[in-house]
Amino acid sequence: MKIYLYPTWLRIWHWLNALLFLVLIVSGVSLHYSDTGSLLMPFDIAIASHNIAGLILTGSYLFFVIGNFASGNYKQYLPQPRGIFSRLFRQAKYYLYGIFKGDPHPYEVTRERKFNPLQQIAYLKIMYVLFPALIVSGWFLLFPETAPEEVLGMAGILPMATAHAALGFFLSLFMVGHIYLATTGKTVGSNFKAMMTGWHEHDHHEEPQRAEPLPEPTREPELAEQEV
Amino acid sequence: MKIKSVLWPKPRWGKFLAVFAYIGLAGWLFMAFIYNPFFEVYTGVENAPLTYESSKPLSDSEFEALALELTRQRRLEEAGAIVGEEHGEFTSEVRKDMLMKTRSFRAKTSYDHIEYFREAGIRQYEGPKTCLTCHETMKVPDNEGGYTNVNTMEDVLNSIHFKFQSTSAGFTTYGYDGRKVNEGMHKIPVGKIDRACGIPGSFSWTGWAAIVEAKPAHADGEVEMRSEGCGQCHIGGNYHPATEKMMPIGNIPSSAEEGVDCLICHSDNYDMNYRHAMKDENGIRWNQDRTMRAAMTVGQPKNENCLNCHQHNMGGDAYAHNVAAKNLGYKNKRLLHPGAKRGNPFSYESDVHYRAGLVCLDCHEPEGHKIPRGTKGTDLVGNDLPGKVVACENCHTSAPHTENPITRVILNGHTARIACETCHITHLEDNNVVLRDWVHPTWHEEEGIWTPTDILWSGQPGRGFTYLWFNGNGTFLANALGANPNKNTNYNPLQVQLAQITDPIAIEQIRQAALELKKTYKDLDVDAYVEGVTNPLSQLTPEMRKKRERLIEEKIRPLMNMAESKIYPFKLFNAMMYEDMSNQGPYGAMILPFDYATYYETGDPKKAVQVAIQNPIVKRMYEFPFKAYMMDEFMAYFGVDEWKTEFPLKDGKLRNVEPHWMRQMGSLMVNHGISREAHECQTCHAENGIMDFEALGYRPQRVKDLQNLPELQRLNLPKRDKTASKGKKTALPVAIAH
Amino acid sequence: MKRTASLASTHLILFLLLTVLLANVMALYGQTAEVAPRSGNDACFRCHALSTLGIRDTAPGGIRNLSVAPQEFGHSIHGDLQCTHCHEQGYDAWPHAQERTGVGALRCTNCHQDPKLELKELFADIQQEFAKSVHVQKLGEKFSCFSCHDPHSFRREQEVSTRKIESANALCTDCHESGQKLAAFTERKFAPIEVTHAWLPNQDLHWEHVRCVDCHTSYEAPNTSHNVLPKSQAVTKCESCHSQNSVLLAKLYKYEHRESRQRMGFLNGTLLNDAYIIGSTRNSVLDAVSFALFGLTLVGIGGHGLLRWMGKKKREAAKEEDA
Repeated sequence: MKIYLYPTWLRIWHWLNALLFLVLIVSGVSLHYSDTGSLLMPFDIAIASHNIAGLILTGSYLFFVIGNFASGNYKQYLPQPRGIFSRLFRQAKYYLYGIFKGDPHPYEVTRERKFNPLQQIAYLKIMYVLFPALIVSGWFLLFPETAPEEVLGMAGILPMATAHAALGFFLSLFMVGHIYLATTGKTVGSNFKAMMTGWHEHDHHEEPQRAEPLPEPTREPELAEQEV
Repeated sequence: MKIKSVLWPKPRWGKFLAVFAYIGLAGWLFMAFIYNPFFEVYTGVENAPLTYESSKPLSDSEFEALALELTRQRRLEEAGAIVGEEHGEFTSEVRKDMLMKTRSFRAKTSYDHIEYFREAGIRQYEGPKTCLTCHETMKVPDNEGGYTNVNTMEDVLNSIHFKFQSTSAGFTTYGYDGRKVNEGMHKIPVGKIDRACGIPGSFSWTGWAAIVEAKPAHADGEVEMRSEGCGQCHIGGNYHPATEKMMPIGNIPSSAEEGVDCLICHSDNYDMNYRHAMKDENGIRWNQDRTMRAAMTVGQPKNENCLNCHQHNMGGDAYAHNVAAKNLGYKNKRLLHPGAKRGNPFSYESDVHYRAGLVCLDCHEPEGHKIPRGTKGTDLVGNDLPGKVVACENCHTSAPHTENPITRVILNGHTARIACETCHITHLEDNNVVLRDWVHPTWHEEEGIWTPTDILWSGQPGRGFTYLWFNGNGTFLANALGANPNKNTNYNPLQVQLAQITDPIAIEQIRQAALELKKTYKDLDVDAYVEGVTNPLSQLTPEMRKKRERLIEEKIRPLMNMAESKIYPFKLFNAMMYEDMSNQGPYGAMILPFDYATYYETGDPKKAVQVAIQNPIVKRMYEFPFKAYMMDEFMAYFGVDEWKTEFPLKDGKLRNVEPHWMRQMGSLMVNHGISREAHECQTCHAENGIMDFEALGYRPQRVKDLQNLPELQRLNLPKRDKTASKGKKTALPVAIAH
Repeated sequence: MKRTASLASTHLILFLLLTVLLANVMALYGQTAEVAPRSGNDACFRCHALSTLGIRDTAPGGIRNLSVAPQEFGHSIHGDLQCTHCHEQGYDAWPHAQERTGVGALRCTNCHQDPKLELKELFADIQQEFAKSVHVQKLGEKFSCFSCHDPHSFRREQEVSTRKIESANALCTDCHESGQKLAAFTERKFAPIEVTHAWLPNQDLHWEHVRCVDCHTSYEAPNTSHNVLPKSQAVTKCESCHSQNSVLLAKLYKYEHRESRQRMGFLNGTLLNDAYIIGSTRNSVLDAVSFALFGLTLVGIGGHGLLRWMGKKKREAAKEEDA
């Protein structure tokens, strides 16, 4: 079956974000290893592209946040606190075991809930904590005179730079995982297609009891207990 | 229907515009029909269309004849300057004649506006209107090396030369409460507290223009009409100063714009004889030269233009080379003031820069009609360009001495501590007035009026002027602020140099003047009089003196120590006037103005005060709106806590009004009258030198050192005869000496 | 009775003697206190402390400043020397003698070739580099040590703080930013530094943290930063500094590391130095961890993918069998 999951603005943002990330990774790595010469790209082009891409990324991130709140999409990122561990465990179990057996996805994608519990918690942290931290630290590096004069006896710009490098690397890593997990859809390419067209395709599988609607607090505990 | 759609248009933006238009219209109506009439009634100022008799049309032939005459006159002058006189009169004439026929000489010695007027058909000068025909806007340099176009009239109207007060920051004056004038949120209009004139500061309304009946000795009892008043030196031609500019809203009426005198600054042939007070159906105002003769010779201001007014306060009216003072008026001749306000003339005879061909605007480099006064000053005078430096160093650098290979180095070294003026102004004019008594007028036989009595004139160091440390700032009553770099608190000019007269010659002259006064004023106690003027602090109660000492250390000392100081010469001045004792503080009380006509004609200063303070503007000062708008703030700067609104006149009698000397002398900067021949080393570096090192805060050991420099003895400079100049007695004004 | 009288008289004489002596001493003291100092540096500073002591120089608008700030001199490395130690002849009294050692005769190396002075080798190196510098190549004799360095205020490198860098750069900008001092050397006018360095991002930060000579002098040994190069040979590539083997390590940070090690001990000084240059201060631990994580992720994904693929094959085979 097919459901319309990704509105146009979100898709535009997603692919813009992907493109910017690629540019930032390539230019960032070449800046980081500037002493290798023009391994990936010349130093001055790397600076310019990193700065420009970073600037656009800031804009697109703000666009994403505003769009999220305006459309109500932000609710997708808020996990239900109760029983969260059992749900996380269930999803993890699927990824580490069930997926090889061809088990169905434990949490079916619906319009009300397009992320599975693992996705929810990961995206929440990434999009609202790490991503902004990456952007802010980047801006400090763009205007180094605004960085704190001194932090713990070191020049204030040093922790900014370290944080920027670490966050950039971690988010790049996440991107790799993200791309890989995108292949776990109905077919290897179906999730990519969904992100292009907005229509998500998945099997409406036989066990309807698993296709729970958005968990409601009252039902949630029982369900969790059952499953543990 | 149609009208309605115009008055209240359908589209939303139309309504929006309409609302704007209505608000604007309402504002205009309010200003034109409510605020302005109310303001005129409230302040008692008068506005009316201004006309001038001297503005007359010429026929074409008259124009051409005048053009020829003016051009010829200028060529003769310039040819004379080139040819000189050393070849004998006849040869000079022949040479001048040759030169005046030379093409290139003729090209550069014509007045370009004659040609402009000829082309444009201008045959009558009608005031600013005529100038603005072409000069509606003008280019003014901006700070980025380019130019901006400004409206010429607005530029003039907002200049200190027109409004002579300022509501903005940029004064070099600090209030006695320690705050810089107009630096805070509450800005008040202040312009000039100049106590050498009888109509100080904000009281110029009461003395703007007066016609006085004089009975000079030479006229055998016949009455001669004379002109007097502040307006003679201001470029507005109205019945009052730019009162409207003092207020937070409102602007001067267009009739007053028509009174701006462009030519007094811009014409080569401005005839000061037209500058006299005149009376018409609306009141008294100042006449102007609006002849074509003046208009056809316009150009950039020359020294003569500035000096039309400014020689009055520099060289003084009695200064031999004051040109304007020779042209007193075709009628109602202007009254001359015998004592000089500063006594440092700027003229060919008295200033090396004048002789070098410099014009005023070379140093006071203008931006449009805004003219910089410099970044230093003790007195409260508005400054159009507060940040712009006018200083010797601009041209001379900090190493001005070049000639003598032995002394040039140490002389240049001196400029770190000593201002150029200190050595290069060796004396002021002899008639430099130091002490002026307004309370005991003297009959001036020649002029046929009662004049204030000048009891001390002197141009000598230590008497007519003194040396003080100066960091560029002054107090509210013009006391130089500064400190010895050693920060010695013994240096305290507000208690010593400016609050005591110790020079024996000065004291003797004061005593003689007092004895002279006693002939007219039988009740005068000579000893008390001398004590009052030589020790003005004696007028304060012991509590007030204590408060003063405390306040000086608390509020003034930090200002003195604020920036680097140098020793400058300062002209000294104090005056005895009537004061409103309800508003007194440790530095003085609010001084009250005199009505010129009453004062000069009757010699009754009390009556002159009574008449003057009945001017509506003075009454308004003693009411709440003005108290809140400016007077409280003004008095705070004055060192008085609050402005008390008890009007000093009740039932036709002055109340709580007393004659006093201000509690300390004012110290005014002198910067002109520069001579190449400066003081010599020993003039200061000697035991009886002109510089009182001890009073300047040097420690005893250093004083001895400075008085007996071992280096100086090795130089073997010729000793100067000091006693000759020190003991020189100054001729007293006629009024006192008769 | 007689005895007491004589005793009293002895006392009196003693007392008188003492008084006279004391008076003499006081008079002597008073006198010396009042007389102006005539010897030592104080005598010189009577005039030379005046900040405007100087004369107009032959250069247009130029002023030769003859003043020496006593405080600054006192704190300088030469502060313990007598003025007349260097200014030998003709300066004993004022007015100074006509025949006297002019500034032209003074050279830093006059003293600093003395083997007793510790810096002999350094000064030899400096002299060698200085001779190659663009200033000397172009201006020759006109340019001396004193063109940049004032021996009256020169201090030993204290620490590479912002203030130090500021004063080091002031040596250059004194001429290259203002016309007056420059006019003494050349009629050339230099474009404002902001304009000539328009290509350089974050100008103010660079001015604050790097010395002009770090880019504008040769990096060849002995590398004393005195061989000022023509501008075409200056360092203009960002990555020359902004990389792990930044050239700055050979210059500016050589001092910085030395100073911070002296200040905080070797370990702390090396770990906690506050000189951060974007690009040069890469954290190798972070890099290693990153690489390891990246490898692990790739391995994980590869393994996972393989298992998925294998599972799928298996299921497809089973389906076929079923069929």
